[in-house]
Amino acid sequence: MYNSAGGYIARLLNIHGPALTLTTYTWPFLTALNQARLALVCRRIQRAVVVGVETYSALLEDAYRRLLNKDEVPWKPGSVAWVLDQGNQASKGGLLLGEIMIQEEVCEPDALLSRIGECWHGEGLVSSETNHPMAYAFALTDALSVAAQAKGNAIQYVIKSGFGKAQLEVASQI
Amino acid sequence: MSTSPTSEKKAKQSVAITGMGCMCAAGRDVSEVWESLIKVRVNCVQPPAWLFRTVLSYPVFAGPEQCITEKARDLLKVAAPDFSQESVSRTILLAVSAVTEALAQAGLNPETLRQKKVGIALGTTVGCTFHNEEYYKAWREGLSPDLEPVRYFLNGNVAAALHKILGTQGPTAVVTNACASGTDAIGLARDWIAGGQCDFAIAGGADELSRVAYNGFVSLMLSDTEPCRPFNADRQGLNLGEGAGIMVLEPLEKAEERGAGCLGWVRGYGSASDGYHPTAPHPEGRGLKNAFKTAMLDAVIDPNDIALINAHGTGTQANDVAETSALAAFFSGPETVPIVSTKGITGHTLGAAGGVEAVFTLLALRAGLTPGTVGCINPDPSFLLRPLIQGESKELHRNIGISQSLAFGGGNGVLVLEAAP
Repeated sequence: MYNSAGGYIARLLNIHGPALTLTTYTWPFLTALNQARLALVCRRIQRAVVVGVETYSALLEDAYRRLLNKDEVPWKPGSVAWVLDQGNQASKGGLLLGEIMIQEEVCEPDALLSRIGECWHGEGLVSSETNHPMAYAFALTDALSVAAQAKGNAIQYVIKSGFGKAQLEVASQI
Repeated sequence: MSTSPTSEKKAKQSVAITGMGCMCAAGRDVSEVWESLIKVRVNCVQPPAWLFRTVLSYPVFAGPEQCITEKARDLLKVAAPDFSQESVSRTILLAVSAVTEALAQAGLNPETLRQKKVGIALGTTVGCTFHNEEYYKAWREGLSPDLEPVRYFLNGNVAAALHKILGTQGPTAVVTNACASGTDAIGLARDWIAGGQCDFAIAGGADELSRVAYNGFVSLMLSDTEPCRPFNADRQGLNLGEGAGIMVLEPLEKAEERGAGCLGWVRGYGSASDGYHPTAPHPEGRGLKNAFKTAMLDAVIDPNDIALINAHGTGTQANDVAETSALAAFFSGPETVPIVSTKGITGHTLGAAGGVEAVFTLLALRAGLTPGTVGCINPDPSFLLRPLIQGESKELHRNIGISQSLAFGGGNGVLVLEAAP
């Protein structure tokens, strides 16, 4: 990720709260969600815009083709954004984000590039972009509409891969 | 239910610092860097050829050529016998040395850590970039260069690399908030510990010198051709540096249970954006003021509790004005809190700066004394606050200090650190 990408977005949106840019190869959007959630829980902020974004350089695409011996590069630029509020300020009918657990494990760089074996479970969690590094974020975002219908019931999402495991819970407010 | 001041203070002392490590141009460990500060050792030189070649005349603060210490080598032999120095970046090697020192002070070893959940949060800027110029040049010419530099880059996530070396598991984050990255990483790790997400956190920053960053700062006309002079009237800019500064954090209760010595606490953290300019701070330090206020609230203290400000103090015109202007909103008078910068002996270590300077801050608080700003002889008379200058020192009669960072992109991070008695 570009250094200080969050700061640049803050400037464009004229936001003067904290802006944090995080870079991980595994699930950066979940890492950012977790951090925003913690900042809200300890009441350091009232609201957070959490963005997951991928842009690809031609250099990295070339490396992908050559490293993995593939003709097609499955990546496309993409982004997702969620807005989080403190629980007591969220509008009625909003979703509650529970604890997020991320357990990263060491793996070979090729596995990070290909994301082989990445899979996820949870009601409404369906991937339409297999092998895309942002697939989990797209799928989670789509799954929120299913979670919104599950009045009062918490839905647990689990993501597993060769590079670890992540878990989060979302519940709709009654 | 209301909270008593005592229980509130206790809650704010829940994240203990039990180990520190540092490596930079000022020294290979914490005691050496502190001695360099006291003795005003300024190791600012032309970029050594073993780092990179340049025709430009802007000196840097380079770490030792061999940046893996003996102790780090010993740790690697046990924890990662197959580890090859050549397979990872200099940023990772700098981090390994500082982490080794911090873990030793905390009384921890990889074997113990492998039974626990360990978070690793590190700030870096250069350390997460692909900056292999030869590869890039060949690729731009339509060639298919050997892919080794790409593998090297993919292995370059400094936090993941440390997990691999230590054989540990737990939350991982690389903060890339430019020059505030190290400060933000410690703030982030503090939240992990306070939120029960891990048993230990290894936090701070690491960054190596690179020709790409070097040329970039020269292009922006932010580099000085002489050793930097933070807060000085005739300051001309910064000198880039490299290094790593690391803290080991853990819940105080657990540290006491295992008999670990508590060096201090991460008592508060605040962060805020200027929302002003991609590479210049807000002239009045708008974001820094907000970050400072947030950190005060988070720490449940007021400015009168603060004994020391370890400023970002890069030596650029814009930074030093913004910083002193922002601080003037909280402090006033000639006998106000000492404001110092330690970049006169470390250079600007970018993503490592917040980690390195947090270490310096806690060292000064624990020593009960701060030396003045190396390189500052004639402080800029236009500043609203006068920093402590080279040759001066001040005894610290309270044990709470601030370590703060400003960054490209308008980021501002403020840590409130408290030394244990």
